[in-house]
Amino acid sequence: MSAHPVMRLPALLDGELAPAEAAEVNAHLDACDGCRREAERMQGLDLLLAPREELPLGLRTRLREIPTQHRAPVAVRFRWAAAAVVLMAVGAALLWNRGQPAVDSPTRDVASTPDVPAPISAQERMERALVAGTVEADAYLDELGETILEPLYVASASKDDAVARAALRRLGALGVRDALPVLRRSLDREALRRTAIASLGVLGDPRAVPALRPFLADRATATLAIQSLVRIGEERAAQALADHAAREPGAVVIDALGAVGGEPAARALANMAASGGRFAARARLVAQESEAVLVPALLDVADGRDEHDASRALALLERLAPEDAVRRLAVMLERSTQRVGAARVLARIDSADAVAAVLRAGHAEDLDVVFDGAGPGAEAQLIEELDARDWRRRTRAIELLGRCGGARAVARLAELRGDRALAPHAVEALGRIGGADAVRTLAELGTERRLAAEVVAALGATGRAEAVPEILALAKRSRRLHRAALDALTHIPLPEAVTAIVTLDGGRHLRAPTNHALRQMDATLVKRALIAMLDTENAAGARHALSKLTRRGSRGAP
Amino acid sequence: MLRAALAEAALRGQTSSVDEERRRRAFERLVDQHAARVHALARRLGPAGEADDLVQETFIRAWRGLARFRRDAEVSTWLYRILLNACRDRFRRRALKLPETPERSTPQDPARAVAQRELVDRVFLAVEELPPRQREAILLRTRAALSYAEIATVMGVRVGSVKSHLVAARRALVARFGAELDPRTEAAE
Repeated sequence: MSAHPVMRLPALLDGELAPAEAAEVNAHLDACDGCRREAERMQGLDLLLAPREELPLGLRTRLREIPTQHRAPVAVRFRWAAAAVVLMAVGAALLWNRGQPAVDSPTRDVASTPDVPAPISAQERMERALVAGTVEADAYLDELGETILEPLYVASASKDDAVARAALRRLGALGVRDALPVLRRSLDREALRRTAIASLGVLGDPRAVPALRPFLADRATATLAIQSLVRIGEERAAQALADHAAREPGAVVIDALGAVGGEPAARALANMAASGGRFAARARLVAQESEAVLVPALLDVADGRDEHDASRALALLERLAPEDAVRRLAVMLERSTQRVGAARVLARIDSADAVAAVLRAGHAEDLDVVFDGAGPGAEAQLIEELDARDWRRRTRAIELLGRCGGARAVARLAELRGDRALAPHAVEALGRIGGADAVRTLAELGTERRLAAEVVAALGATGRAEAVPEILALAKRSRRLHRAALDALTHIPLPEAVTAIVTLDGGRHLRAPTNHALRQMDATLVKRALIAMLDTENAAGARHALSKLTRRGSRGAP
Repeated sequence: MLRAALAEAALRGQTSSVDEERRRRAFERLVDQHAARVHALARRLGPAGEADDLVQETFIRAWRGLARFRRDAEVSTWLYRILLNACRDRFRRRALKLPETPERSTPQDPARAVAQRELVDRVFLAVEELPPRQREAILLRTRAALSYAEIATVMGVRVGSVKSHLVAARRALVARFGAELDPRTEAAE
């Protein structure tokens, strides 16, 4: 096969290779799995980087308006001229305004003295009171009672933005259902939009939700729309927030989901919490307050078809260890993709039911790993399993006790010494359990001749210093045990083990198996231990070993 | 002085009104055709959260320069060049390390979107860590779908350099994300 055309893959994918060259690279891809995978991954990468988002709401309009706001300068002098025109215009506007009554200056007068007959209509008077915002004006408006509604609808369409905004605010606060269409219509008028969004929230009518949705997508209005949806607080509002959170997760929307509560919110939070993304921690925090809803939602994700999401949801469930989830998790054990994750959660739940469910899942090595460091519940259940009739189940329980057993397991495993078939397994499990108790028990079991070799290996597996003298004692019994001891000691990463290996050899010139054993261990550890031995009775052996190691230029520091 | 300038402005306004209208229509066409892609690129090429601003700045500069611009064929590369310069300017001015900007629209399933987004965010974070020229090249290719020749024009380098930037960028990213980039059944939405 020709050399791998890795450097030409990007150009091939980008359609930038000449036809002949492309054909050549394609032919290679047909034949070479490695390059094909690389090409597929590059394609996958392009897919991820490709734009999917739309132009933000309103940006296109703003861009199209650039010509009206920015003159196309032809020369520098022209720019000056444009600036001058603007200045003149501003100046003129200011002068003109000074001549006119300001919007709210007469209002206060009218509102504070509502009885003064003035040549203005009732509508106008109400509008002036609306924008005045003084205590007196409010009192006047309150007095109007229901009769204010019609004038308010009229005012909400006023050309004066301030009047219209005040009318919308009032309509929202009054909570009249009929205000909904007026508020909704006002969303179209840019100057009123923010007020209308806020007032729809105050109004609290869930029918406003569809009208509010689009404003979630616009940065300028998103926060306001979120607040309004929280105020509305009904399921449709929660769903809108959930959809928004999926599109654009953020602290504000997460808090909003927490505040609004309910099923769709909990599900959205669960998704986010399981995602492991930037906001996962916050989502978890917010979601924790509603664990009752979070767990079922997480279970749904875990049970879903997407493996990636499922594993994240399971990881989160593992942390929560929800006891009421045992049954659903047990079902997941039958699926090939989620079984290990589900088993892990079950092991973490650590109730008898949970462990039993994992055990029932059959002889599955892939599940054994979940018992590593499992809790006392698992231990209890496994000990019970030792009484099972099926010897395979018993064997498996012994093995698993090796992964998660404690003091009770040690005692129970020691009782199996009389069982010819199970005793070797029990010894091995004891080695895995480790700990001082296990070492002591193993030392006792070592007195049984037929178990001695297994005991030596298990003592090594404990990796503990206390195991070293026991191994040395057993090694003296036979040549076979001597060899087993050498091997076992290499599994104990301690200077005591190195000393023991040299001591076992006993000669001035170490034998090949001894040297071999030392080479199995960490070179730095071995050298330190050997140097420490130079002052002892085994100095000759240590010196010999050291010289051998140095000559080999072996791993590690001197 | 001021009066002279005003007079000149008035004169300009009168003489160029037809031109101006034509130019405005051309500009609107430019916005309709390119704004989305320019924006998509700006989100990843510029500092976080400044995409809208950058796009606006780009089109304002384009509008101001439109009078001097003639051939339609190169309009897009010209626009991207303005954007690229604007982005470089901003980074230079602030010597700012850009954080991630996770903003994108969503496919139907929120759960899968969240998971997918997480990978997308990590990938873009890695893109940001690429050497600047590699980053620019791969974004111009994937976000604006420019040809190698166009990228070369926009970046002001030779096509050969574009090629090597793209090879280096893609290989680095593929090496970093490996199996995560394997096409999953629905990954393409």
